[in-house]
Amino acid sequence: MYHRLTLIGCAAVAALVFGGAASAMAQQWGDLEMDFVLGDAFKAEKIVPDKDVAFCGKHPLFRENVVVDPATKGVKNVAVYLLATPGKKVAVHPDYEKTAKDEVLLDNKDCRYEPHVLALRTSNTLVLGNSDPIGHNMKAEFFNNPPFNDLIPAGGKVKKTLKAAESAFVPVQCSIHGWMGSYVLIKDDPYVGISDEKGHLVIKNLPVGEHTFIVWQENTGYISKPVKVNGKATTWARGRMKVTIKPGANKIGKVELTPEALKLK
Amino acid sequence: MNRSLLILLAATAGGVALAGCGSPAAEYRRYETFAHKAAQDAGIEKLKASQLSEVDDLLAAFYGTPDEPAIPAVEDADIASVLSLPLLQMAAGPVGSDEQGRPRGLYREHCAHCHGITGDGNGPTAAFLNPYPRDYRPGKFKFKSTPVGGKPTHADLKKVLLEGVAGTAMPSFKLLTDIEVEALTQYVIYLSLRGETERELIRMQAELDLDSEPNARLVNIVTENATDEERQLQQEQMAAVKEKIATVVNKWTGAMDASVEIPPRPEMTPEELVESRKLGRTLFYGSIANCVKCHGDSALGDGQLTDYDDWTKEFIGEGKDPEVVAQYVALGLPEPRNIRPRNLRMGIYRGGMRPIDIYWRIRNGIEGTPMPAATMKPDGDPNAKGLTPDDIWHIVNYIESLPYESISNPNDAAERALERMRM
Repeated sequence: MYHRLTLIGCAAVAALVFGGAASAMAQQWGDLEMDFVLGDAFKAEKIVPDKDVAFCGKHPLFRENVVVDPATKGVKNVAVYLLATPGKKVAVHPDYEKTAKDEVLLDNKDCRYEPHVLALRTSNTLVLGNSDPIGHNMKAEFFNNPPFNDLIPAGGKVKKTLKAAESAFVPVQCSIHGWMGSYVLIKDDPYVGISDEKGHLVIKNLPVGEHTFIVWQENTGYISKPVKVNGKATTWARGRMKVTIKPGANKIGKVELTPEALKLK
Repeated sequence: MNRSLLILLAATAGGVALAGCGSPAAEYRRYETFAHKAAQDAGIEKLKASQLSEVDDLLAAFYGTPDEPAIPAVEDADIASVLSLPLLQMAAGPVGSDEQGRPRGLYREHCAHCHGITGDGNGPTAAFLNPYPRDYRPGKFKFKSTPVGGKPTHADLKKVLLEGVAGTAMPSFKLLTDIEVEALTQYVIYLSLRGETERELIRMQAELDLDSEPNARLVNIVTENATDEERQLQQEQMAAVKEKIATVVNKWTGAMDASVEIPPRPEMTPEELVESRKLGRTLFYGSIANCVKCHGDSALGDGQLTDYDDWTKEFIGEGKDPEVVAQYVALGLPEPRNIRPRNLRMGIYRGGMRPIDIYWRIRNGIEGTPMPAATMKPDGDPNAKGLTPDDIWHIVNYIESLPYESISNPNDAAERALERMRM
């Protein structure tokens, strides 16, 4: 009984403290949503493995520099992330605390890296895994973090803490199997969205107000050639898109990428 | 005065005149390849000429010139623990000696013809060498006792100068005096710091938003009648530049004692050694050490022939786009060559032939190359995948036996090695 009372007491104090803080700040949050599609027809290039053919040859492999869903024309793995202003800390929604210390897996699976584009926070741990029965290696060169190049044994894993934020996506590559690679972004804040198979992208719970986002795609880097946003020609100089986030949903709509914007021609 | 004396006098006068104004002072070469890459990465066509000349000016302010080096004045780094100005002066400048007869211009005497005045690995002889001379500017060194991402220790770097690099054009400089080798070691660090700083400054330039502020600079020029705010801003900008330099310098000051410790090589009887080599062979072909994938089925270094080292790959990626390759070659990148895994049957090891050298290569990998670091089995987890220090010693033992193993009949190699030891 005594314990329960103490607990209730504590909870009440906590509610007072946090509730008070929240109402004082009155921070409001909004979600950013976008859909990326490619206007033109696209066919992914097939990869014929030249190493570990017995194992890798069993899996259909395609170049993943541009991934388009044939049905919806959605472009996968386009990333949009909040541009960090030096010296300025961005408000982070409490929901993100749950995942702040998570391990984020970059796996070697069926002779490709999974996921192909990933983002993590400086508070997360990157786990380099290998679910394949063959050995792989993972090599990355960062701007602000020490590089790594580790051999990941079959069934093994290696953990990496990357303490410094990077301003751009950094490639991770396998030196043994040249086609294998991923892109990783390390940020202090959690505000990154990566488009799914259908080209849909969402960044949840951004602090309201005007923000600059970077729009990035592996094949072209910053998307800086004209694109059509809901049919209207738009250019994001150096991939920078300014959006004023309002409370609730902020739907940018359909972004039609041209082959030129993706450097396909 | 006879005629020959007159000719001699005229010749001397001519010589003095030539030395005085004939040859221009040596200059550092700009990092054009990186400037292009940084612009591409930032989504702009190229950096403006004024941006690049600001980088030149800042570099000159912090690092001086090839004839008169300077130690960058930054508060947050203990640069005195890595560089001493008198030693840098001994290595810098034209070849000669000072009034006391101490040497001057050691770098130009011994190094610059291959590594270039700038340390960009692009001296006059570079194109004819295979492998190319090291470009110090990215700040990466292969043969060291520290992990990938760490700088070499002072001893690591000095060892390369003293021993040379077997199998390459890099000779041994054991005939120089201790102080001369020390001066050159420090000068290499100095050029590397300068190069890494150049990269940082170029990246800072590429990140400036010239669309909204066309005249933005890294550090504004303040005139006499500038306001306090303008002065304040300029000081903040300068502090940001100094912070970048301090970060570059601190990588060196922190790494000086970061050697990866290696348990001593186990003592073995000849029989145990044969057994150890067999274990090493199994590991060589297994999926935990995975050596075979690149060094090849016969360890001839023919398993992976299409990759590039970082000095090349940074610019041309997989090297599949000839236009991109041509672009960077025009900007000074040496004609790309694929990196070859070591042929382990030659008995020539670039990073040194001591067992500990080979251990370090396996344990830490080789920075700037596809050679990865081994994954070590963590203590207390018998199911985790990885190598133990003993495993690595087994691989070292196997590798040391490879030059003596007959490719056509590898099975009797262990026996023959045993015989040799008994002889």
